Amino acid sequence: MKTSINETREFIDKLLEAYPEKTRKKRARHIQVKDGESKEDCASKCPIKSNVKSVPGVMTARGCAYAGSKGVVWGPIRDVVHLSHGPVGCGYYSWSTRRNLAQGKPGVNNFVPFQFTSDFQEQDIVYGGAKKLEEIGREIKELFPEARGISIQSECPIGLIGDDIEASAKVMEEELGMPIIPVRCEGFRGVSQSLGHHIANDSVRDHVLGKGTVDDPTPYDIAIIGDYNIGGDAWASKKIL
Amino acid sequence: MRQIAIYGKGGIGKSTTTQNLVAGLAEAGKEIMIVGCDPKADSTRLMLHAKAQTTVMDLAREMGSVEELELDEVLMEGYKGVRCVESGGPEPGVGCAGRGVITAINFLEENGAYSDDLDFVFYDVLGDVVCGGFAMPMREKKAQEIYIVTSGEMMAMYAANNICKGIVKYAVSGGIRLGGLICNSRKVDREHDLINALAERLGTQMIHFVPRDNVVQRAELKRRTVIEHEPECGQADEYRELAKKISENKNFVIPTPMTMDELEELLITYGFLEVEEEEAAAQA
Repeated sequence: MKTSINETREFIDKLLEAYPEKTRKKRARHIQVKDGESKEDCASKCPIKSNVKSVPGVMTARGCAYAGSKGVVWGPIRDVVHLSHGPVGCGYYSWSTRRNLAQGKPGVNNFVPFQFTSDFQEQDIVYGGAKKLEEIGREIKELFPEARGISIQSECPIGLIGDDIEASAKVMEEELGMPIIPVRCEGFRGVSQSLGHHIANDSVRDHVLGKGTVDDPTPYDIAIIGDYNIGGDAWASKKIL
Repeated sequence: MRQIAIYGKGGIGKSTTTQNLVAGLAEAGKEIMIVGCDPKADSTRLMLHAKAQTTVMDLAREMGSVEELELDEVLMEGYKGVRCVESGGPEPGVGCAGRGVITAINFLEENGAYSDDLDFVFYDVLGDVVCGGFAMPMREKKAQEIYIVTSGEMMAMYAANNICKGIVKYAVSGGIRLGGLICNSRKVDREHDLINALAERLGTQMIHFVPRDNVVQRAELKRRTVIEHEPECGQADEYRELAKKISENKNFVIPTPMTMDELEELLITYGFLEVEEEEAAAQA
């Protein structure tokens, strides 16, 4: 049985009656009927929009900026070590949670199956994590000499204690002789993991683009950055290239 | 564009000195922006003749997130077109004021506040560099010069020495340099000599000695700089002189901070002891 738009509206009004006034006002903006008549108006008038703050309890399960950078943009990059910088949990729970196209020898030219963390302790929060970060860089270079770079995926505390990971990355880059990419994807930034995608792509633009070499370059080469790899999307994308 | 950060012990007169010297530079036709990096948000009141301007963080809180803000909502024009921004932040004892500074500076960079027509950007930073957030203005591609406001009081000198330790750290990784000490006089005995000696030990210079004058307090009550409030007075000329010296400064160094023992020794050598001896001699 098809419900009419008016019936749906009535249903929503009834639903909202249960809330106290203040909550009702807030929730009303998250439950809306699409009337199907005024398509043009929808974009500007409809209060339900993406990329805005959400209200807990409304269907808005979402990740964070760190998840967006580590899981979606940087994580699938195969020959670079991705370091989850901060306490261990963010790294652990973002380990092997996605399907990626990445193939190769694990630990030689494919680091996607691994999880690297700087495992912040109380003293790293109090005294800052710069030294630890540099040490980890050396460890990575020693353990995985074929790694072609390191991305530093910032967890929340990095932004709170104000560690200057850009400066550390510069020092490490000189010492280790490979690109070290600082990514400011602290989880509390933005309203969803979407900002993490933007931040991660910006870091590709600022720290990677234009620095590599191409065998047999042609005037028509295209570098694609920012593949939205949410579950093996690259399989499909590759077919149309 | 020269980006300059002003540091110093809490209450030493950083905001007052910064705004007065900025008034001196503005009077000389320079284009300037002041970025207040202190949750108290009192770095621009003398420029704007207002109690406190809308801060980046306060407005971000009101609107839900910093992404919602527009630059012209937080960038105000004050005396002689000086552009004013305050980072803002929490009340004492809650939240994270350091993060407020980082967020605000990022916002300004992303929204084009650092336009090419600016001659100077001044960061007026909270007295105690208690966490990485307050060192934000020292990071690469931000301030290249630091001036420390101090007086002959021991704790002000202690703070100046500590700030030098922070500068050393960032000078190694970036390009930040110390441009000098500004002595904001508290009429301590032999203050001029003492700060000169401190500057020498830190490997820098005392760029100017600003004498104590109550006209500063009178102007502050009117929410004005001395240069605007009493342009003809001697104190206004002192700030003009400071502005000129900073404008023409070429002396930029990586400082050489002292140990606590060395600092105390300095105080004893140049400060109180000799005065006590002199007084004792006079009595005798």
